[in-house]
Formats: sequence, C-alpha cells, structure tokens
Amino acid sequence: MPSADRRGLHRSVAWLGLLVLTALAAPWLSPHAPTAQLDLLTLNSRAPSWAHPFGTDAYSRDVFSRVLHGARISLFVGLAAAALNVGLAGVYGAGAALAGGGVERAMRRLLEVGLSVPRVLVLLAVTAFWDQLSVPSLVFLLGATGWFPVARIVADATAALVRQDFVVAARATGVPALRLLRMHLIPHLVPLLSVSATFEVANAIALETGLSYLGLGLQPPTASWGTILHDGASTLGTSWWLTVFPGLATVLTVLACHALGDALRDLFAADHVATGSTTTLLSPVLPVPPASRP
Amino acid sequence: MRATYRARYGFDDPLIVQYVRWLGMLLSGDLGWSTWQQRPVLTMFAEALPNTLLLVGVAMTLSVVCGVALGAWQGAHPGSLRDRVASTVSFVVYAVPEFGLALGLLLIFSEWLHWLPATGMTSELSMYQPVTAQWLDRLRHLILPVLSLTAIASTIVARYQRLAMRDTLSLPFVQTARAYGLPESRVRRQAWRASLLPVITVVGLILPSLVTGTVFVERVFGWPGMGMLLLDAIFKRDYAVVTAGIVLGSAMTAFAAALADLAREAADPRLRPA
Repeated sequence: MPSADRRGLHRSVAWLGLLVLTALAAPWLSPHAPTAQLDLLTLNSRAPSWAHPFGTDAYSRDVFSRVLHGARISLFVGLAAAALNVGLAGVYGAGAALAGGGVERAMRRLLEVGLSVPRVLVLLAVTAFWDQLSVPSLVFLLGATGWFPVARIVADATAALVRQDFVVAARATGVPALRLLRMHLIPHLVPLLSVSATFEVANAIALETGLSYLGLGLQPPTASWGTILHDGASTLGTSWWLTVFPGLATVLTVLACHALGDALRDLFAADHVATGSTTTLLSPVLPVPPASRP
Repeated sequence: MRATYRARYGFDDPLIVQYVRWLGMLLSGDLGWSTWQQRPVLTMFAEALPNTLLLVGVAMTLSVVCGVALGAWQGAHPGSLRDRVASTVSFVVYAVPEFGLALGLLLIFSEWLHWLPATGMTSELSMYQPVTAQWLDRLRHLILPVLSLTAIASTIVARYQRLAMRDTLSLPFVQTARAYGLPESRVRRQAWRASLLPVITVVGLILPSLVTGTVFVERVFGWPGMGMLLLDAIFKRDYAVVTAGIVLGSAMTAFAAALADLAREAADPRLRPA
C-alpha cells in the first residue's frame, strides 16, 4: 500500500509540475495565439492532426493553444481562490475560537447558516446578477464562498489547542497574544490549513471550469478549459475533441490535487505518529474526510 | 410605459419594503410572476420539481444501497486486493467533477456507442408507442443521468461505510460472537448492522453534492428539472425564477439534512437529549 501511495503522489506532483511549467511557458509553447481565428473558411472544426494536435474549433482556433492557455487561468484561479478561501477560514475560525464565550457561539451559528446553503446555489445566484465575470471577480467569488467547512474545522482545532497544557502554560507566563499566535498556535494549524488549501485548489478549478462550461463563468473569447467545453457542448457528437481534451485536463488536474492533498494528510499523520506525541493535537485534522466536494 | 411597469411591480418602493413584501409572498406560497414565461413561478417549479425528485430520489436510493454494499464489502477485509482496487476506483470517481463524469458518460455511451439516448426524458415519438415501450423509453433516458449522480454520491457513502465496518469488526462484541463460534457470515451481518448508524449521517452529507450534481447533470443531459429551469432563468434574466429556485434548493437541502439528523436520533438512542 505505501509504495502505491508514493507512486500516486509522484504522479500527481509530476502532473502538477508539468502543468505549472506549461502555464508559465504557454505563450512560447503554443503554436498559435489562443484567440487567433486561423482561417474561418477552410480550418474550422478540424479533427486532431499533426498541425493541430487537439483539432480546431468552429472559429478555426487551435484547440491545443487554447488548452495550454487555459492552464494559466485554471491554475491562477485555483491557487488564488484557495489562498483567499483558506485565509478567510483561518482568520474566522481561529478568531471565533480565541474570542470564546458568546462571540464564539454567535460566530459558530453564522457558520452553520453558511454551511446549510449549497455552494453552487450561491455561485449561481451571484452570477445571475453579475453581468460580466472577469478573472479577478471570479477568484473573489470562489474565495468568498465555500470556506465555511474549513472555518469550522479550524475553530474546532484552535479550541482544542487553546486547552492544551503548553498554551495554558504560555498564557500563564504572560506571553503576549500575538507571540502566542505566531509561536504556538499557527505552527500547529499549518498542516490543517495546507491540506485544506490543496483540496480547495481542486474545488476552485472544478467550479471555474463548471461555471464557464455552463456559460456563467468566464466569457468568450477567453481561453479557459470551461469556455472550450462550452464551445464544444452543442457539437459533442461531431467535434468530440472540444470536450475530450479540456475535460481530460480538468479531470487530471483535479485528481492530482486530491492525490496530493491525501498524501500531505498522510504525511502529517505519519509525522505525528513518528514524533510520538500522544496529544490529540492533530485529531481535528485526521478523522475528517477533508476533501469536501463543492 | 416605464412608470406604469415600475408602479405595477412596486419597484418604486424602498428596498426593505420590497424585501418584506417578497418575504410575505414567499410565506403565503406565492413565488412571484415570471417575466420570461408570463406565468406564475410556482406552476413552473411544480412542473420541474417531480422530474428532479425522480432523478435525485433514484440516485440517492441507489447510492446509499451501492455505497453501503461496496463499503461493507471493502471494510470486511481492509488492505486486501479488492479493498485497494475498490478504493482506488472510488478515489478517482470521487475526485472527478460532476460535469466531467456526465460528459464522459454521454460521449461514450450515447455519442460513440449509441446505446442510450443523449437528452431529455422521453423520445420524440414515444407517445405513439405501447405503454411498456414508453416505460422502457423513459428508463433508458434515466440511466445516464442517474449513473452520473450515483457514481459520485455512492463513493462518499462507501468511504464512510468502509471505515465504520472496519472499526466495528474490531469491537469487543464481535470478538465475543466469534468466541461463541458463530459462523463468520453471521458475525459479519451483526457487525454490519451495528456499523450502519454513522452512515445515516452521510445521507445529509451527500445532499449538497447531489444538488450540485443535479444542476450540471440536468444541463448535460437536457433533463427538464429544477436545475435546467434555474439555469435557463439565469440566462433570461428572470430574477423571480432565479430567487425562487435558490430558496427552494436551499430549503430542500436544509430540510433533508434535518431529516437525516432526526433519523440518526431515532436509530441511536444514545444521541437523544436526556
């Protein structure tokens, strides 16, 4: 089992690394501009060939170039949204647990309200009233929604930490609040936050692609995996390459993020066992199947 | 012209007045008037709701049954070959986005193999066919959307059931049963029944995933349910329908989650408030 896990980890890291390189080098790697209409009359909706490995779409654009440029958008949206998301969850969750008392109860109630509404419905509601979604506004939307589950886990973990002897001792000796946070609390929350962030990258990428596929996310002619899928939706039977290539790219990327998240979690858990600490410190991290789907 | 419309729909009133009026209408079961289809929003949802419930109901039942079966089968032999294979497959299915799975199934089974129909609930001319053929036709339309939803939801259930089964099998009462010489199949059955409790919670957990799934799956397969209605309304800028759809969707999720909580208490007396 461990060797199989390692292989999965290596593969996912390799794929994500390749993706990052591709995204960075997309302008030099792609044979054509992502929005260039090469020849509307003779080059539209061509099946994959040597000249156009992923075929061309109805506007004679090179799908290979579009998928490469789509990697930039997917990665940027995924990373930025996950950072915002986990940042919000960390501040809110830790803040609630540290505030304690009535404030904590009120903040937890608010969290439960947020948790009860499915994320996709919130996103649909907002996109319905939002005319043109740009990449930054999409990042903001994805970052601002769906952080409630992570915030709850962070709140539970912080509440458990605050009760630990070393935190009580630090407080008793008069360690200032900021130093307590920096030296004692944040280092213990890092594993939890980094695992959550990895899964959130997957969620954000899947949601960006999904919304754009529905026609509600990024708008044409932007080349994102979702907008390519959207272009291909009406001609699925004839131009399958418009669905297969961006679809595979999305699925593989999301899978790789999940595999990386699982591996990171196991790594932290093994670390925890190896150091022989018997505290239940990480327990808020471990039993949760944290890959909460959007 | 503009002024008459503003007055008729009450857009002149302050926002808070409009909001309270909307709340009042909502409570009395009036979801408003669709500017797109020129008919009450309520009747539009009344038409779409049964289709969605059919899809979600079948998918939910199947995913609980399949998930529990798969999870128990895996959990009985943790670490075995079949456990590892099933875990890998369910990891992959779990991580795939809803639209990815739906599009894949559509492409393979409908566009390439032509085994199953691609869109809608019925074929165009099926109403002229005998009754049994009509039912068969509807069933064939149901397979792919239900399969997409079930595949993802059942992996969530299976994950929980696998752990629950594994943990239960190490409990003292199972040891006792084995020590008494009960046949292994009976031991398994008893352990399985005891391991079912935590799984009830999962039903509440798979709901948001099913809601998400319905929106995408209905779009991919052209299934005339609530998800399609909501998406169409967004494109037609019909805000009465959009708000109603979101309120209904959230309310149904919350209601079902509450039901799952109640079911858990009913099944496990230890959880009841003393």
